[in-house]
Amino acid sequence: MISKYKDGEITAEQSYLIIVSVMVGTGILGLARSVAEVSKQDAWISVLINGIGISIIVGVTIFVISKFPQLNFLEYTSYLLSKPVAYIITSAYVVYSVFASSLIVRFLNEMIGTWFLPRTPPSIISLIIVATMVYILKDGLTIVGRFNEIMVFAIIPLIVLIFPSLTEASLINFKPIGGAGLENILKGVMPSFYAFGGYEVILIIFPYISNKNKNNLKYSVWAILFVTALYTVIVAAQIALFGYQELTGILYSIINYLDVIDFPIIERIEIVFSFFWIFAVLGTLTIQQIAGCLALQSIISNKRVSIIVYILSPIIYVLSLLPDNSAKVVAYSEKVGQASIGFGIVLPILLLLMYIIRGRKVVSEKS
Amino acid sequence: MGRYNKYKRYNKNINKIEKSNITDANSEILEEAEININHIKNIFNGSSDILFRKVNLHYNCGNFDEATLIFTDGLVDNFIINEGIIKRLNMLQESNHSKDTILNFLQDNLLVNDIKKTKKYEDITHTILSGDTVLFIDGLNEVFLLDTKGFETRNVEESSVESVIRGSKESFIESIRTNTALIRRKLKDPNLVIQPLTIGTRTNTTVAVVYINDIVNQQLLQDILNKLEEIKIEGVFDSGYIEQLLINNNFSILPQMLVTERPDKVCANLLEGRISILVDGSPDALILPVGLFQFFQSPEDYYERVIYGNIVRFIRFIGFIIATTFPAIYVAITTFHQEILPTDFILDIAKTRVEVPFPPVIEAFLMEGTIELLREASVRLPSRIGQTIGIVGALVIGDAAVRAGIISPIMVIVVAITAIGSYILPHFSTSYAIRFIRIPMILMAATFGAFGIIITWTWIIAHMCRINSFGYAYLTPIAPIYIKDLKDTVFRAQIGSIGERPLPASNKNKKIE
Repeated sequence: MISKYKDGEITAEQSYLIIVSVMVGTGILGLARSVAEVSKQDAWISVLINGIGISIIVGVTIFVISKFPQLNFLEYTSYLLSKPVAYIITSAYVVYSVFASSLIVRFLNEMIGTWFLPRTPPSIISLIIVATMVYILKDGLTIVGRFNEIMVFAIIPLIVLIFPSLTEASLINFKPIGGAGLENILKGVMPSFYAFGGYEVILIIFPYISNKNKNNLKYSVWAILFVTALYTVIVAAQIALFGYQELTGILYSIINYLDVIDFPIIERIEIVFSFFWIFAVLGTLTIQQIAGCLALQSIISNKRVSIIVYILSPIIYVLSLLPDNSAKVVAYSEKVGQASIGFGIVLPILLLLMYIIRGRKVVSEKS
Repeated sequence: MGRYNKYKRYNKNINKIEKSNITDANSEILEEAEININHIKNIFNGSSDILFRKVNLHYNCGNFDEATLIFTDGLVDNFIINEGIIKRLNMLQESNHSKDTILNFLQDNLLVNDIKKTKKYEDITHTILSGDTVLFIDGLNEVFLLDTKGFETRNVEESSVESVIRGSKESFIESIRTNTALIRRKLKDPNLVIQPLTIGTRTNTTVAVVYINDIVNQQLLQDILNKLEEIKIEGVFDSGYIEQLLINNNFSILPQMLVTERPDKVCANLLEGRISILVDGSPDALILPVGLFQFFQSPEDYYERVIYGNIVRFIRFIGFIIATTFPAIYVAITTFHQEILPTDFILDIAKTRVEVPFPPVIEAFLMEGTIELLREASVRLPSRIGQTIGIVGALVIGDAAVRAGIISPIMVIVVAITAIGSYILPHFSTSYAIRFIRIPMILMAATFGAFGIIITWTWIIAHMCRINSFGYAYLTPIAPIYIKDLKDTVFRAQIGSIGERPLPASNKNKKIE
């Protein structure tokens, strides 16, 4: 056989695309609104700051965990944070991942219900999505990695669709730059966090990269910066078009943003947007869930990931149907966003501190 | 006395043969021609096309030995048998050879390409059945195998399945020797290896594995050779048998081996480190390992200049999308998403559908069904009638169906464009895949609209991510991504700038140095 990599592993190049794919997803819909509520016309600055901050955190994360190339998430957290804590964190990650996945399924459900199938019951749509997810996940990370490499291409039409509406935008809406005040700008970082969430899967999947090298850190950070640039442009474009006052009144502002311009032949461009957006979100969903499955696999030390996929999927299906309406889904997403702060910011910093305190000793002992 | 001894020896050997298992292929021939010949007659059960021609070998002192030529009538070149062998053997009468020098005389004077010696029955039967001639000489426990192949074959003709406008027109035929010669003529490289195997316990078909020794991945080669040797089957009549026995995803709808009848395509793929399998009796060569993007490539891309090559390849991608998804998009729009089109346009469509009693999905299936029938029918019919059936059938039936008001004219347009789109790919086996993707796609679009199309594509992509061809992922070089390979698979690189060989090759040396 000429396959370069073992089953269940991914390549470094795949890991960069996975980072992009997992971040660009559901959060893109309400990002501009939720940030503009706080930091007004300077929302794009908040997004930019957040993105740069996250790229630093990702740099730190990869710096720490690349010192343990042979260990998976559970094992290196055990080294750094003692075994019981590691088990608690990993279990918490599994729970978080299940909730995040079910939220993504629900978001998909909302969009499909709004734009494609208003009369189809949500239970059916969720069922199809979860079944699709199981089909992609059941053979492990390698297949998910490849699948997401294809799904990243769905982002290209999304980027292209930003441009036509810019003809109607006016830069006056940005003024006064910095007028929201530094405090508000920094506060605006928080609500934008959900849109950026997802990069924390690097904690789980990094150990599965088969050709780890020193470029991992550099290109992973570039991947984050790419998403940051994309988000900043999207938020800035919406502010320039609507102005922040109008923006705060729209639930999924990007949909309305696209609708400003009339296209030939295609009357409702948001359907085209949703078409590609669903592909992007399916990518996010599969990575989020495979990370949870891999975390659970490390706890119960099971050989085959497929059984875990089969066990967790019904839970996701049920959870995705629990919120009653769109407003509750948004509230739910804010809670998940807060949890992702725990894994995305607190945990990497904690790992860095523990690495400085005791990890170096451990690594030098091992070598 | 000598006569008596000979008789005794004869009896002893008869016993020996009866004792030994007569079907034992490894048993060796004996000095007595008569026993050997009887044994061979037994092996062939007295078939009428196996001819035994007796010739006398004369020595200088007027003695002679009996010699027998055995060959299969119809598989040999009669001219070689008559002029090259029998005439030469008769010439011995005039010469004065002694018994010792006669073997040298044979070696020097028989007018055949190749003379081999053997002692095994297995070789003898195989030789006779592949069109060569066996020469028995009484008193010698060795036979001569003479190359006299000369059976009727088709001429090398223009490829009918993969025709090109620019580039070589020749295509493989049913004779494996001609096919290997076609390859060898294009690749005059001593490292080009044509490794023969025999597969099929009854058909004894020659299968040749062709590769370039210093480029091919040895591990892959070994793997394929092992798999070929493990094959246990009675008969091999086409390369399709080998294809199905080799691939590991037989229930996938996607083609997983490149099937081509163009020698130039085989040679180009050999240079990229791939392996080709030729089967005697089949004009189609197999190429492996391949991924999805190889199915979008035609040799013509490289014969025309780079911009045209790239544009044509891009058109093929679009053709693939149209052929798989276009009817589904039409069904989804007319059933669920009328609002996506401008009001005037959707009203036009609605007007044409006023008299149609069916929902779009039924319409689509009626038309698709008709097209599939026409397609199958036109393949079976002689080519002139086939074309007429295709055009007349599509025009007449489509027009009549519209007039009768069971199908809307736009549906006819959609299905016609789809049918054209599915022929745009240079490989015929891909058109099966397209058809079988299209039908579920229409069903899903009729049930779930655009969401159904998304889900169907997701399943297809997930399936593509999953399968591999001898460890070579199907979607390489996109998933897993190999940026260096991208420029000459998805795109078409400038000739001379292609640089390193793609993934299957082990020897990554530059193509142009």
